[in-house]
Amino acid sequence: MVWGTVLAFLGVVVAVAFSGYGSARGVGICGQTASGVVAEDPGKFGKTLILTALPGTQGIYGFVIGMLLILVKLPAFNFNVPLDKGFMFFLAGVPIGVIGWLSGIWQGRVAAAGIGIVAKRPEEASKGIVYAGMVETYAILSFVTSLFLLLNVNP
Amino acid sequence: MSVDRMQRVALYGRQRDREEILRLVQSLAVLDPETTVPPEQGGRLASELDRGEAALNREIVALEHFLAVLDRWHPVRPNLIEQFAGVRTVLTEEEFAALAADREEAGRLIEEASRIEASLADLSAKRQDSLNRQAALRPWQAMDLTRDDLAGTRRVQLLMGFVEARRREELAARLAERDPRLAVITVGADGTQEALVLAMPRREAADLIQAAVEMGFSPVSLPPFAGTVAEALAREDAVQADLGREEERQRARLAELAGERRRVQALLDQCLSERRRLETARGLLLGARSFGLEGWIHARRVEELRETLTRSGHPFYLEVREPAENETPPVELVNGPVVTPFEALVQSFSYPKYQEIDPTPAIAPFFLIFFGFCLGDAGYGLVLSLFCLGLLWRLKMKPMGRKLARVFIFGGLAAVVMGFVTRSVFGFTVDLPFPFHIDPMKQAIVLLVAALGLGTIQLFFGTFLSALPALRERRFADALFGQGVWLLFLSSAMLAVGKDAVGLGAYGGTIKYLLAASVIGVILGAMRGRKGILQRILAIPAGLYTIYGSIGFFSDILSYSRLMALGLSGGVMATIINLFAGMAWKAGYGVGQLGGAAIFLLGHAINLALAILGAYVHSSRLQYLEFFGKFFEGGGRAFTPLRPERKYTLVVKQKEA
Repeated sequence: MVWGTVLAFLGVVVAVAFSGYGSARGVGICGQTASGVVAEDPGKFGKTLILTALPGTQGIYGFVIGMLLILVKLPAFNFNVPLDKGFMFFLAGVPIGVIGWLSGIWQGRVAAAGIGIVAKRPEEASKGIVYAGMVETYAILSFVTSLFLLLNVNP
Repeated sequence: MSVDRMQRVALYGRQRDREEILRLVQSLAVLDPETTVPPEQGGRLASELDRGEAALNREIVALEHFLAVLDRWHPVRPNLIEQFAGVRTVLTEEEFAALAADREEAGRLIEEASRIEASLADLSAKRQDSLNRQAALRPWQAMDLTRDDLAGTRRVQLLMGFVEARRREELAARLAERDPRLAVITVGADGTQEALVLAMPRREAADLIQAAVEMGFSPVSLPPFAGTVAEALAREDAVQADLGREEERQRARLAELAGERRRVQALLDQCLSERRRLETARGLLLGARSFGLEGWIHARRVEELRETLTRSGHPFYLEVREPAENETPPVELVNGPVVTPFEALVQSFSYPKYQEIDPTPAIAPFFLIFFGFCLGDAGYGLVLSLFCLGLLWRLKMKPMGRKLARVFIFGGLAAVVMGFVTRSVFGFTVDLPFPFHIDPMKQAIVLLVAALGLGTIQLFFGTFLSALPALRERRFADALFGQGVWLLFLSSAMLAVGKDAVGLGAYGGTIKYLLAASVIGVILGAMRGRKGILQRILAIPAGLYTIYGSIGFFSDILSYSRLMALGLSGGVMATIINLFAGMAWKAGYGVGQLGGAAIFLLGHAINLALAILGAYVHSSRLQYLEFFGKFFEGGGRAFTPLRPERKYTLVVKQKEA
């Protein structure tokens, strides 16, 4: 029983599932807000679309970590990972998983507020985009951390 | 490369020439009015302006109503690109003047449109009535009695009504008990209800009806109809057909009117411009027979204004002076053609104050490099550049849109260069010629160091820029103790930590001395600002606190690691898409190839869109926060001259094909 590989798989699940949930929820909050704005003024569709897309990046980061683990790292071990390395793989998935989840939801809230800016003053859309981008900082830092943790586990 | 030079201007003229002079000033779009009108002067012109504005408002409302009617029945459907860029009627100056001049024709159009709108509403109501009548009659269509028949005979009364189908038996039985002469005839149904005709002796009708009602029978009275029900229904069909044809005719007429949309739009914009002039007139200085308009003007356009006014033949007096110390002129950015598109980034954030430097030439190269770094794929960059080139060519956009399009064209080219460095084309590793290569996956650390290095360069440059005002005024000591020692401290601190990595390990001693010297320099700089020996000693903790604040600087540098994260995630995503597309393709049987191509196109399209979004947001965020934070204050006011309103039209010099 190769428990190390099982743990590595669990790492992929954490990275992909948690960050994906965060992004889905964040983008969902924005989509609801944006629908309300567009119901009043369909001309604002483009600007609200950009804001709605912003919280989606956390899921992408998590997916990238997961895919790197499955497609690059595990084959390097021949899917036969010792227990300690497996645990390391699991831990590598945690930063982006947890932070992607939390920051995705919060970025969704900020972006939804930015959609509120667009509703009242469409010309100030970029300020809302910058606010939403600020939350992304921590998702990016956790992505970089997960990446380096991942790349440093070698057979 | 700067904030354009502004001058304060005061224009005086005769009140009787006021409208004409204002119209000329507006057509040049050269003057940003700024007057402080003493309250007592505001009253004199006010009543005339109020009347003028009220009349204009009435006209504007009528014109907008015309457009609203057209939009309701004959809307213009923008395609996807136009939804983002906005749809406006494009006219040349001559076309605009010709269309806007004929106010009477516009008046006729408005009247006709209102009439058509009213008649369409009327037709719609009539059709609804007809449909309602049909709905009421339909359950009874099998009944072969006419309306006259339903009146009954001398001794028989007929009554129509509904009862729940499941209660019909009970109703019939009970009524038969009370009077066997009563007949219950089913003629139709309406959902769960059965349509019945009760035939009963007139003398007992009242009691029987009451009994029937108690048992769940609901009498109805039908709308008036001639002949049998079936005939009436057919007649309603004919009525609806007529109404339909009339509606078609009205709509066709409305479609013809839609061709005159441009005329109304041009007139609307002209009325809006007129109203803007009246609003400006409220802020005029007033003499007995003269008026004064104060404001700001580009220094280089003063002659243009003077010439235009001279040519008009109206007497005027123009007074021009430099802005005073305490005044804050509005700001317009002027840059060379390559840098100008990046003004869009500054405008989105905040205009510089009049005395500040224009940060656009500073952010242009950095933004480009960062954008290219984040997008990092030759194929993506090419697609982006070509797409924006196409947009610029085919679509009439507002200045901001054009600037952003050009920014993305340059950004795409920067991404192509980065794609050459990382050997990445649509996620595939292609051997492209370039002096050096970096493999993002295997050399992630190198990419990170590069990103942080770029950040260090930009932040040092920003600190240097904050010293520019002091340098320009030859206050070298201020610059040295303000920014110079700070930069020295940062450099020596970084070298002290990383000297081995860059191969300067041998200079360890020198670096230590430089570090010590710069710390002393920072503390001295803090002391410089104070007077008196006690104050100076108390300034030492302030100096040490500044040293401690270098942590903020280093965390700013770390913020630049996002460039590497974005570049890497985009690249890896592209590789994964290619992997999936390849797996699908290999599955074969035609379906596999189709799936593979679909995955490739769709996946890269989505990835491209997200990568562009991320690259733009984060590259510009780095400019706004980290870079601007070092030297830029902002909060300036944009130059907004009195200009013709162009809400519905776009007037161009000449039409392109």
